[in-house]
Amino acid sequence: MPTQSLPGEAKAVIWQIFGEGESPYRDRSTYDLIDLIVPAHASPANAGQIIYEVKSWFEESGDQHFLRSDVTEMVTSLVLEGIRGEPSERAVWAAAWISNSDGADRIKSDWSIGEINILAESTIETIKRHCDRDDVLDPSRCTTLTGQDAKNAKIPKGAFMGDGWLDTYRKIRLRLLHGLHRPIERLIALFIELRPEEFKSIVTQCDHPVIQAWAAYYAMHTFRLRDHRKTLEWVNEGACDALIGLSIVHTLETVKYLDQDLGAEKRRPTEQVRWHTELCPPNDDLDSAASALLTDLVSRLGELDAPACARWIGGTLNHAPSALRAGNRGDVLHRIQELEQGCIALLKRLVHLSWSDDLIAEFGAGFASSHKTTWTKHWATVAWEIRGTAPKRTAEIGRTILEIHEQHVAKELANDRMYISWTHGNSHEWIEGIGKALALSSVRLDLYQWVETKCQTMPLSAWDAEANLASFSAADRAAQHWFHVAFAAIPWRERLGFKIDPAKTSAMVETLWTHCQFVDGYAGDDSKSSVEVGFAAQTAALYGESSDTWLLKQAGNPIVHPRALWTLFHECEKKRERDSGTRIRSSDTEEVHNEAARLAGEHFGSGLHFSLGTLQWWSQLWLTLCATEQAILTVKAFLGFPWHLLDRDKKLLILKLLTLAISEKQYLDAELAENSSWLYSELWPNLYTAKEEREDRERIDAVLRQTRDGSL
Amino acid sequence: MRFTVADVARAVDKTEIYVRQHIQRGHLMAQKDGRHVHVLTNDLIRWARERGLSLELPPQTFASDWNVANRTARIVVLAWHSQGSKLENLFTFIRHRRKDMLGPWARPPDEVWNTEELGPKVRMFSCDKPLERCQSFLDGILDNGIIEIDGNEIQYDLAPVPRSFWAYRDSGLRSEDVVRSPFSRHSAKVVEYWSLSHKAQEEWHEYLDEFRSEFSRHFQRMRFPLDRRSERAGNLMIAAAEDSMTCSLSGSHNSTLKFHVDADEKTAAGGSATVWASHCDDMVLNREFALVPGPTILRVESDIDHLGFAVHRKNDGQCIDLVETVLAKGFKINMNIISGNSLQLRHPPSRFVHEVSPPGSHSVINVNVDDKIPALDRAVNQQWRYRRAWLRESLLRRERKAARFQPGEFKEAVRYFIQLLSANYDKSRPIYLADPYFMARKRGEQWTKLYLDLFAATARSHLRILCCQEEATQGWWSKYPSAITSHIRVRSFEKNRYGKSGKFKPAFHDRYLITPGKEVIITHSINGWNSDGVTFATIPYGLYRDESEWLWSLGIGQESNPILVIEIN
Repeated sequence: MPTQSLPGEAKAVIWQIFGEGESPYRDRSTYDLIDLIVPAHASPANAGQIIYEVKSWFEESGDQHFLRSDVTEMVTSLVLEGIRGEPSERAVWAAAWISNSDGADRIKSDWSIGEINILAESTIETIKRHCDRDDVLDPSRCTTLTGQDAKNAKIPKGAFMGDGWLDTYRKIRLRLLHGLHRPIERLIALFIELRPEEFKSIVTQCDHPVIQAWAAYYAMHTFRLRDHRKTLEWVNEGACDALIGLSIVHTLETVKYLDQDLGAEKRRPTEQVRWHTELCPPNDDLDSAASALLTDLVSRLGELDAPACARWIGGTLNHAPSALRAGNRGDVLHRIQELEQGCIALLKRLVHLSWSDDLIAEFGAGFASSHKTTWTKHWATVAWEIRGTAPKRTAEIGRTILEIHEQHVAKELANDRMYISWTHGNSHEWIEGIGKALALSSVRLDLYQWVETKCQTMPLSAWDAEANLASFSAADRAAQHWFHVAFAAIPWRERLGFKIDPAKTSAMVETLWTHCQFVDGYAGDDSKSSVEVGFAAQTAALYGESSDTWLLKQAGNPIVHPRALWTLFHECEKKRERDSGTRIRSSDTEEVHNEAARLAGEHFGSGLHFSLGTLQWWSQLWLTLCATEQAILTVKAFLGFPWHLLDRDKKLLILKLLTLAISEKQYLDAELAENSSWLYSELWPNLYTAKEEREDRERIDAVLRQTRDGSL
Repeated sequence: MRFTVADVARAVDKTEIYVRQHIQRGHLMAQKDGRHVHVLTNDLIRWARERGLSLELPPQTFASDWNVANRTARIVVLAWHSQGSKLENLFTFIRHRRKDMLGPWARPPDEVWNTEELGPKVRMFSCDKPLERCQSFLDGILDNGIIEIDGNEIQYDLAPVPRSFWAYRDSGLRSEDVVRSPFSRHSAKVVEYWSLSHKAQEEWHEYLDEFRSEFSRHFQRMRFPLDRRSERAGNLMIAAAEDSMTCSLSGSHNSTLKFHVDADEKTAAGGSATVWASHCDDMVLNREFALVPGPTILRVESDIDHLGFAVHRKNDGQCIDLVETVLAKGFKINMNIISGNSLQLRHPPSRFVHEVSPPGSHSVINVNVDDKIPALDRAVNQQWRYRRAWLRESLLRRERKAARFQPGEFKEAVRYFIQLLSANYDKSRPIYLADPYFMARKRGEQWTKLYLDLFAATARSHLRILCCQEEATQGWWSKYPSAITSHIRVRSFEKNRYGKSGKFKPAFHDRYLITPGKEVIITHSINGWNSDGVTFATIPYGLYRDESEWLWSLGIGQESNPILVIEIN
């Protein structure tokens, strides 16, 4: 053994060399430190020999030196001996070094409890000291900086703090979890190995979210396999925000893992699955365990004082969709619904037992941490559900939600924007919630007047369009949004027993169309084909004065966009089918459709001047009205565009239009016939048909079969 | 409309005394308002007719083409403290349009003045009024030269006779000096009262230089770029939207143009439209047709990069709307995410710490309106660009602003250069020629001819040549006859080599020619003209003139100067 050739005093120096070398705050390598540390701690007579001997443990590779693997165990023993009962920072870094190997196990087996306590306390102190200096992140692991650049850089914690704990932890999990200096990571791991029950002391004492997140991340590896409900214990009345935040994050993560295990159980034999928790089927019911976790998390949050409870519920609901996202999408939706139900029930309890004016604001502060404004829908649900038991409170909540939403809109408008993302799946639900709040806010509510007042206070005149187009466009989006909210309130008003005036509803819809026509003159062509316009048409069909005369008036009105016309006739058709129980149209309906096609066809003209997007809506309208002549004109207009601009949806639409023409015995000229055959073979070159196109293909094939030679 | 005595006198081409006498004698009906006397339009016309006077009324401010009762106006008054505490009119802008064009949510004008401070000296007052109530506002200004808004008296200094013109809404193809319509969907008929006070304008110029960036936003909102049209400072402008009909032209991918008219049939029948489109300056569409309400579809068989339309009234041929625009075929958007994680960078030796936010990700988006332009059109476009480059170059040469000579065009380059020198008729002022390598004379017949031509062309003036010569040497031109070289003085300029490095460093690098009338930058030293070609470009900044005069003024041989000057004989 090489140690036998070392003088006794050398053994007391070795840990210092490795401790100093492991510190992330020293520029020199362990090998370089030998020459500096040995003369300072050994007698001059022995120093040379010790230096020679210790250096011989390293092997050279390029300009770097690595400890030889055959001496690692011996050095570990020497270091372990050296740091025993030693409370200095250098000893702590030395401990980080030995945690590379089986150091933790040897400490647990060889050291006394007192010696372990000394190391644990020194470890916490060291980490805390560097947290206070805000110097625990390694730029080479968090940025693209390397070498000396990384050494010279420092990333302060303020650089990545999110809005609230949950947002911060989400960001850390995404980007920075592995951004700590490696020795600090190892120290935390060693500490948790030695004192797993004291994991909370790292979170409470070290004020750095990456340290907290890493500690929780490491601890959960151990805890989850022993007790998947362990994280629930972290939530109690005296717990700090960081601990509650980590509890929510990791509880939701455990639910996600349980769902993953549930999916894996269905796909593979149980003995082949590596379970994420201590639960394993068939002995354990993973589905119930996941549900119970969510229920108990909400119960735990319910133990906090009311404002904190509301804030954390808001945060949990905001965080849940991304936290629960796993392989099985259906389950995620199901879990979110479970969580929402639990949270709504808790909010209802809070409203009944601990109502205060701040409750909604606290919830919003927790939820809106990432600038989302969709949280008002949850309170709308609360208000709706308590309308029977607390009608006054219901109206109050409804008004508060509207006020808060007005503030959100005003904030957007102040920045000349009004962004509502229709790609976000919750937007319809959210606006429906605001509609619900509007419906509940007052007994005497005139929706037309309400929306008119809103629009009149916004910069929506021609003067405004010319003074600031961005502000005008934002106001247009807001105006359409208020219309949408008003339309969304109608079904809820009806359910509350209020009579809906069809004439007023239709007038409101027409006003929106007039508004869009005016806006398009200044701000481009998008306003008339918006989602809100479609929704207005749907509302008109369901709650408006959808008489034949009114429908024909709209068909002949050039300001009504084909999207609105199609929705109108499509919804009326669906309503008729529901009422009559048959899909067969009466002669009266056909007459109305023919007249509508004629009137709309007048302002469609040749269709050549319409954009592709608008032509799509026209196509839908002609298909609904069975307007064959217009269908052929639309096909010709489509074919006037460069072929590469026609995507699969449009090609399918063209084929449907042609099929309509053929089914109505319309003559196709040679060019159209050729194009249609070509389109068919391009869309379906073989027997395979995608699921969503099967019905269309069958219908087209049926028409084909009816033709004499079987081809279009 | 009400006329002052001065207005009436001008309209009938008589003296004010003549008019006052007729008012006193009761021949001409007049209204008295305190000390002010006004004559109404009808009374003026009747009186002139009865007396057989020729009458030329000033342009009507609120023309009778419009139904005043159906119009609404926005008044913006920019006032400023040009001298002392008095508020003076900086610009007053009255725009008016049909009430029903304001949109479905517009409320009746509240006639309340809003005030906004735009800077330490400028205040903006704005107000919406029915047009019929604007006349008294305007009369107040024209009659008294003063108006009171919310207790603030604003003084005007306007010429009594206004100018009238049309402001169209084209988007930048025409001269920058043209006033464009302040209405985005309509052209406008404008009546403008000018202020001829130069002093106020000069003050405004100075003030604007300091605060230009702060004002541009407000001018944009006001729809008149007073920062770029500062000659209009002090004016009063009235713009009436020609909104009896609304026309628009839009293009589509499938080679169609849609010209849309929004008007009733009777109004539309009174006008005609011309729509034009071109590609690479070739006219591909030029069609005139009668206006009909709704869309008119026009087919074009080519790619288009420029289109426009004009609408004319049939009865008098007046153009009442004009739009012309260049189509963007593609554009590039550069996106920078401003900052990534903030970093604290340390400089180890000095322990210097600096926190920075390095730029985050950067991306470029290329948007092509149509990336499948037909091959023919692309080829035509390339040809056209080549032709345009050539045309520009030849135009510049014709105007003697720039000339490019390729390698091998030495003789032509020399001829052009000598012409530049010969065109100098002011022999009393020196000519400066800066060429660091002037002393590196080229030998051979063509070079000798060049030097002789250069010396001869400048013979009666003072030719001062600036060069950078490392070693002191004798002038090689001394062997030429003194009749053509006596006016030459050559000096070498180098950065003082007694500094740190002790190496030779030229004091200047650029090559240029300064004659009393011109400042010409030359891209190559004379000795490289044959092998590399040369470009002469006239620049208007006086930059090199100042530099050469300064260099020449430096003392010769003074080693303490930062630049060492040596005279070469």
